[in-house]
Amino acid sequence: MKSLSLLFLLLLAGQAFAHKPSDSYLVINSNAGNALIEGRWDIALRDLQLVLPLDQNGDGTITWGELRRQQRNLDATVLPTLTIEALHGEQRHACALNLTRLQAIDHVDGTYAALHWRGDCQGPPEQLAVGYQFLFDRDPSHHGLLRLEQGDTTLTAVFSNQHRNQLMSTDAGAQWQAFQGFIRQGVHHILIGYDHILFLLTLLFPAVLLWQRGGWQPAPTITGALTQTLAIVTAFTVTHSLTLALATLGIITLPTWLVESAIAITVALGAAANLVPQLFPKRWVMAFVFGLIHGLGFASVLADLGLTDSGIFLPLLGFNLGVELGQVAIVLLFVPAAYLVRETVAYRRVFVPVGSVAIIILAGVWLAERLSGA
Amino acid sequence: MTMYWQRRNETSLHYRDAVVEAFHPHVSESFSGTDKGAKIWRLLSVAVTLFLFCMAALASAAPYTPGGDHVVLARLPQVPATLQAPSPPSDLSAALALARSQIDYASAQGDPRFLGYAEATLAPFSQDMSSPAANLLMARIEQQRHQFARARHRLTRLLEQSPNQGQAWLMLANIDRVQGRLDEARQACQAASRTLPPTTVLLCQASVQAITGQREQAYRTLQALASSPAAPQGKSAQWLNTLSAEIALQQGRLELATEHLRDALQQAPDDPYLRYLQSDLWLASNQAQAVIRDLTNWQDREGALLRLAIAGQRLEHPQAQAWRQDYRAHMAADQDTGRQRHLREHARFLLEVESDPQGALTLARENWQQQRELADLRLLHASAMAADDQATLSQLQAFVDRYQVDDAQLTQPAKGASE
Repeated sequence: MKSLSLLFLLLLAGQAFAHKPSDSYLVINSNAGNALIEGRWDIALRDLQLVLPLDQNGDGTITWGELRRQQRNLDATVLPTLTIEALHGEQRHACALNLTRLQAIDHVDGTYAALHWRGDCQGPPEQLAVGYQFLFDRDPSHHGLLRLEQGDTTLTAVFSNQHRNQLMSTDAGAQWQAFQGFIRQGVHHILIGYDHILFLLTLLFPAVLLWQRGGWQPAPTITGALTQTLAIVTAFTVTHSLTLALATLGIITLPTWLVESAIAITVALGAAANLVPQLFPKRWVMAFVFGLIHGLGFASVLADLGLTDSGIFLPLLGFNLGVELGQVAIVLLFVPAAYLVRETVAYRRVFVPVGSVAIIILAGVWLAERLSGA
Repeated sequence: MTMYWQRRNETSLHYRDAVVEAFHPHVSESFSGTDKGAKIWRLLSVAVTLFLFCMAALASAAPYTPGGDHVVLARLPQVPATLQAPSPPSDLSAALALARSQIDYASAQGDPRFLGYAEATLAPFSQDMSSPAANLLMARIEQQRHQFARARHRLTRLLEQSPNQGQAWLMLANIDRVQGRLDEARQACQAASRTLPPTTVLLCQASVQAITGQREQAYRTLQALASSPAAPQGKSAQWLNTLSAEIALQQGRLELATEHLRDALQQAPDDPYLRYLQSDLWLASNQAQAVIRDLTNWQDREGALLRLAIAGQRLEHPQAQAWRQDYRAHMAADQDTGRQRHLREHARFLLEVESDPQGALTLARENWQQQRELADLRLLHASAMAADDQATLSQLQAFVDRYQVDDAQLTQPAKGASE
């Protein structure tokens, strides 16, 4: 008997829901550039029965049939307590909302009606003005918890008796998304643009070394190696960011073949500098000067992404940030490894000179290709 | 060794003299989770619980179409229809009566929706101070929602206009005491003496004295009052017994506390504050089984769920995991609703059920900004000890020194052996 009652209790526990203040859950899905929005509104049956005669047979329970029979009332009297307006520039359009499907859903304190709805906003919204009037006259402590989902981004807001209107900027979400997209583009570009990587690496090859007595010697301290690396990376960053901005804003325009060929030359020169370092004593100066050319190369990618003049700042910033992130990743991978093997003959006598020669040859091939392709 | 004060706490219902009306008799069912002969059933039921929980978790994740029109989606609470009237009375005295029953129902059932309905009932009369009674009820609603600042502001405004509202002084004293402004609380009790009967004022003063270095004196006053010809009746008697139980607990005399609590429960067997206090006493004296017996029928109340989760964990009860998950779900649903959270209870859950002292400390510290009753002090102390946070401990010491708080639970280890 005891065991039976235990199982019975367990079954009951599955349905026992604790009291909670009255909240509804509203989700709005909006897609950038789309005039149609859709969503779901979960309302507790306990709240719904305050405004609709749900328990028709008065037996103290609400069945699915009783809820279903109220579908027309839900559409006609409950859904209109939710208003959504699409804002686009100076224009303001009311989105017509329709109940598309009724379901049930369990939340922590019991079963809710799940109202699926769709809205036509006539044009893609930049902002949504959402008004919420449900139940406040009956229960002023009622809250509506709003979640606006747009792509990867989610914005939330809470409606209460005092705050019945919320202005949700769908645009901000889209911009942030776009910004992240440009960061990814930046990272992508430096990682697949091996001419930039090679240039950076050729400059960094000897960062862990010192040129003394006609040959490469290991740098005695890590401080020296880090100082060199930092100087090179900073100089390269400053100048390529500068020309990237200037080219993107249309202040400098050079033909692509010229820029690409010049980049090939910088790679060859950077590698040559490893073979005859006495001719190029300050490597950061080289990074600084040649960074100007590489920035122009980055800009051509950004131009290919089809940006308009308005709102160029955020894409530019995002892209540049992405390039720097990629660059930092390369440095973090290469420099510690190089530092560890800097004392080996293989690194100083084989890797640096042979690698540099190989890079010169490769850069020569690129140069030929790029000049002939023009 | 577990400190005694780590094991107990009180509910957040502060309004001691709320009218208690039991709409539903709560039958305590005898049920043993540690029955030795039922080991297999226990294992099976754990499996069933986990299965049910998984089903529930899946169900809550997505909307579904029920299998047929006959499927029951909800059982409505059996509430007198008048408490959910579609349009509130336009007559002041009818509105006051309705709001009072709605608030009483909310506290007795632990159902906050009825506080909202009461607010709607009072709305036409609580916009200005022309009806002190409506504003007193509004303040009571705000206090129950832990909107202390709002309630306090309302009461102060009311008292500026009508300084002879003894009830308002009493409520102000209570809020000040709950929030740890103990000098102000004492003054408010004093101010109440101009209009309220001396017994009420004595109870008010004793509640403050007990935590400001005059514990023994407060206890003697209460006992003298109880045996005098002027012994309070009804709600005041209940208040007296509750206070006596709390002071006995503060003195570390668990059995005496149990006796006083028994007296209080005789007057109000279904008062949530008293029932939870009782459960906390049981938890403190290693009688977790009694907690489960007493509160199993109250699982729809968050305060009961918390204590069930604690007791269930200690006994490795088959339901323990389900209670824990239910409480977690409540905590999660409480986030981001823009409402005052039940920080004291949440912190206690993290400390005693989730074994997360750092999380508990964070919530207990936040709670301390709102509530500074002994229960809050003990909880913050226990969390800070568990998380080894010396800065918080010395902050607490400053509070204890300032008001000469004397509490056996802060200084003595548990009376009972650990389980």
